Amino acid sequence: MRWILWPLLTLLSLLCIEQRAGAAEPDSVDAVLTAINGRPDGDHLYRTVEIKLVDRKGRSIVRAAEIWRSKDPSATRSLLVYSAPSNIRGTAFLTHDFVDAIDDQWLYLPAARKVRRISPSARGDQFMGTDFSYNDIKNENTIDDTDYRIELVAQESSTHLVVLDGEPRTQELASELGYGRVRWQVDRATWLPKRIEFWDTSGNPLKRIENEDVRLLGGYLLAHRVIAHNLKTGHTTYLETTSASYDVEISPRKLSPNALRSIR
Amino acid sequence: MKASLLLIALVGSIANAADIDGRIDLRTHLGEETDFQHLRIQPNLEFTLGDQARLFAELRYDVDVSDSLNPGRPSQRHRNRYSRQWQIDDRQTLELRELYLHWQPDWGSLRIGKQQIVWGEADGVKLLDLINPQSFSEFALPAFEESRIPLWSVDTEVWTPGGGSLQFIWQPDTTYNEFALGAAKYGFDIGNQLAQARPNKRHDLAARYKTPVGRSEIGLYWARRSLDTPALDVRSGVASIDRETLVGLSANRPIGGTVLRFEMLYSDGRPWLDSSSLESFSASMLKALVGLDWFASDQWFLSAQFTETKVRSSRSRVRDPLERAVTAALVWNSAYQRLSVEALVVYEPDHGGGFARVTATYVMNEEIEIYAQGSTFAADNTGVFRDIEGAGGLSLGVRYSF
Repeated sequence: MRWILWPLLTLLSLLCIEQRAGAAEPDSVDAVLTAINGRPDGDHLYRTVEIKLVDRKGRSIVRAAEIWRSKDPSATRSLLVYSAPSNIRGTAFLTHDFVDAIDDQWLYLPAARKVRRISPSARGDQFMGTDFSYNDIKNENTIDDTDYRIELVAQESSTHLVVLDGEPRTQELASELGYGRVRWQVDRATWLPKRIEFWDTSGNPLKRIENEDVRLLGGYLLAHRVIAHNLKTGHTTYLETTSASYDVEISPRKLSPNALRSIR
Repeated sequence: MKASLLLIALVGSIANAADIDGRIDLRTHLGEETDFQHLRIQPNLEFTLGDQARLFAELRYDVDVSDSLNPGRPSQRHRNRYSRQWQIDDRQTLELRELYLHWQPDWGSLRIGKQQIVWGEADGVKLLDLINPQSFSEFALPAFEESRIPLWSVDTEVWTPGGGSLQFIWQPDTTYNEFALGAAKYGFDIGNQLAQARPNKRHDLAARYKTPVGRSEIGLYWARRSLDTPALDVRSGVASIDRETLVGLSANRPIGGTVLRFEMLYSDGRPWLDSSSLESFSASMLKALVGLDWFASDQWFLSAQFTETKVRSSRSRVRDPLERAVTAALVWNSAYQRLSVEALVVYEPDHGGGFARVTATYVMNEEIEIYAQGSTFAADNTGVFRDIEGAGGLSLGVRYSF
């Protein structure tokens, strides 16, 4: 009888595991979106990053920056200040993304000693010369279902992935975002997208973003390496977090346009 | 021995705490009339002093290889004693460009030392940007940050409720604009006479209040200051520096994909020339600027400005009762910002002309940029552009950042 006991026990264990995973696994688009968008992300985050831009010929430019981000129910405020190379050191980009109002943006060029008000960038525009768009940075691993009609494509227990497809709700939104279709492959253990694929408005493959080296930090999950690869230009941006802390208090003053002039 | 060890330890700890960077800029200018070569080395040091303070110092070393921008060793009478350059020889100068201590307590910011302070919303024209004077040794071709003359100043800024700030400036250094002398490449006929004026000895005071109002940002300005351009009495040939009191207003507001900018200033007295008697006299002045920035996409940026000046005078024959200026800038960045092209056009019909400048910059890597800049001047037979009509040309340069 023993010969049949082991396979039965194994089968039972697998069923239990599957059932546990299934219990945590939402089975509707709304539940999946709630899990993804409700993932705790911290009110304050300070991190240093290395941004490596590599063109199709393999030529690269490396920049380093500090990023402060503060979230409250009404807005997300973030400040990016380049620390290297020296020709852009001190250049700062401040953005206030409001939930119920038009966003605000400022640019500080230390050589000019001048804070310049800029119009909120179009969401599909390139973010600071990288392969990320402003919308990619703004949404940061969340999915905005007011922009997209979302469809649950698969929940693969073997790969622990939930696959969602999104189509912009209108043609205008597609033009604004620069995408005709998006596919998110979300790790259901963390509810963090592992891979996001983008198609242009004509249906051609455009870009993919991958989150790697996900670490638990101060109770929050942070992808320490984010890779954006443009399939049309062959250009790739590597965003590597070199240090990070959620255990910081970032004052509203730090993220105000007045403070920009004090950077350098 | 003890002192040497202490000194070594001190130097070591300073070097450890200091960030050193800067740039080397080498360019050659192929001119419509004359060529020149120029080398600039501009290193800076930054010492971090705890969490809230830092010390910043910047040197500028210039070599004017053909000695054509400021021939010989021109007088530095326009500069206060402690702001003067060290003229090593006819071709080389060394300048302490900036040296300031910056303290950032929770209530605001305090910057003491030789520094640049920039006011206003305008680009490429100076209305409220008048805290520091300008060097016109290359006329208006360099960016303002390159040609601005840093001054010894105390700059305090106090945060106010609602996201605003109140700024106070005390400036004992009253160095005024540097004009290229007659023989220089960008020299004016009257440059030699203007450069005879001595800086006014009275200190400058200025204040600004800036605050957000809805989606707009509003600035209110006041200053009691010495003028940056000497008044020249044509009959006597005597140049002197007058004082003015000014009030100003600035505003900006994003509207859709554009940003609307506005700037206005009123001065109680600036020097003007009576065209009939050729006498210099003082008259109040109102100057206003409207600008529109259009961010067409992540690659295209267009900016246009219109400036108008009105002089209030009882004299009937004022030379320039109304001055207008139109500026337009177009910027294009390639994808990933390796290549950028910037075109600037300034047209001042009441000064008899204008100029255009196109600059292309290519980023080779983190350290090296190469650039080409073409410029041309147009002038009729009157006004300041007449003297430098043939000063345009093509500059080719390489910039190394370290």
